[in-house]
Amino acid sequence: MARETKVIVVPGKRPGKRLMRSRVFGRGFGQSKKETNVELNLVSMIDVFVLLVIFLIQQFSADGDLLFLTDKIKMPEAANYQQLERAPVIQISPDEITLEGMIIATTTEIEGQELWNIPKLEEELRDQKKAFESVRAAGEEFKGDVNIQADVAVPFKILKKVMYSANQAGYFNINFAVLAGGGGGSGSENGNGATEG
Amino acid sequence: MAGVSVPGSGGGKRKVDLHIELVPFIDMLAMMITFLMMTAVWTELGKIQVSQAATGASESNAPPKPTLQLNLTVTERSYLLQVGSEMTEIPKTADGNYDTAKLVEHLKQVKKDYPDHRSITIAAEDGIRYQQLVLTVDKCIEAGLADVSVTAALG
Repeated sequence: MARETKVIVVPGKRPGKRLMRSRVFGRGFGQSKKETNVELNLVSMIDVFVLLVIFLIQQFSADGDLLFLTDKIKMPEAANYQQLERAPVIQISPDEITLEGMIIATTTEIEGQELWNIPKLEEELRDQKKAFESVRAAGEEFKGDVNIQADVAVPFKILKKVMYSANQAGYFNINFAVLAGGGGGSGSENGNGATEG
Repeated sequence: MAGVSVPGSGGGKRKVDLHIELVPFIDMLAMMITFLMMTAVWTELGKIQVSQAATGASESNAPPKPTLQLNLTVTERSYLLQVGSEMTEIPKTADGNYDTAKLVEHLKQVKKDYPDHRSITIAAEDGIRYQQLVLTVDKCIEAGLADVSVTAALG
């Protein structure tokens, strides 16, 4: 068996080889009985890692890609919801209306208008519909879905204009994006601001 | 790192010591954990599907007219539930919240009387907040009226 050489040595006095072999003087300098090599037990760490990976894979969901969650928009909760699907997203924050990230108008501007629709939004939605129809796969039907991601404080006056514009552009299935939850508590999360306006 | 050492049978020249490299495995797990943590979605998203009730100018394919006229109006003071020609007002509770429990109760009664009926039209005043609208739609679905239409006619 090959002789093992120590790479890491304990600091301290190291006598010469001859002195170490000496019966008289070599006693105090003899090989220490205490093992200084530390072995990490990796098995338990790998177990923890594997469990973490399994848990995270179970939690993994692609729904997060469908909507861009932002601090500006506080979404409402609902207990009776369906799974969100890919569709054009209209975001309504207290300040502005955007379609797929593109600013359409400010809410103050829209609130002041007498029109039932938002012409720019309608136009952009029509363009999106045309684009979908030109690139769609064979047999794929245009369902007319649109997702509305609005802030809880947005008044119905704005919302109805957005809905009307979507309807005019051919998007008849309007989906309100919500957070799962709600629990069905009676009137616990309502009425904040309904008396304003 | 980790290894399995099989005692030699004496004389055999083939090496039977098995050495498993755990370091790349740990690296891979660490990378997977980092990736999954970064892409994790901790909030579950959903949708509530509504249709827009015809407002006259719409060119949409209007659904067939229901036999029962069931309308719910959200005003700033109360819910107004219209079942056929009968109108019921559900005022807010003493703490200023909408009485959704009573609304669900009324809607369930309607559903009991007309088991095949699935549609309801919701109208709201201009000042009603989106949260309140979503809550109302949610309660209608809870009561078994899944085809919810929202109309802008009132505003």
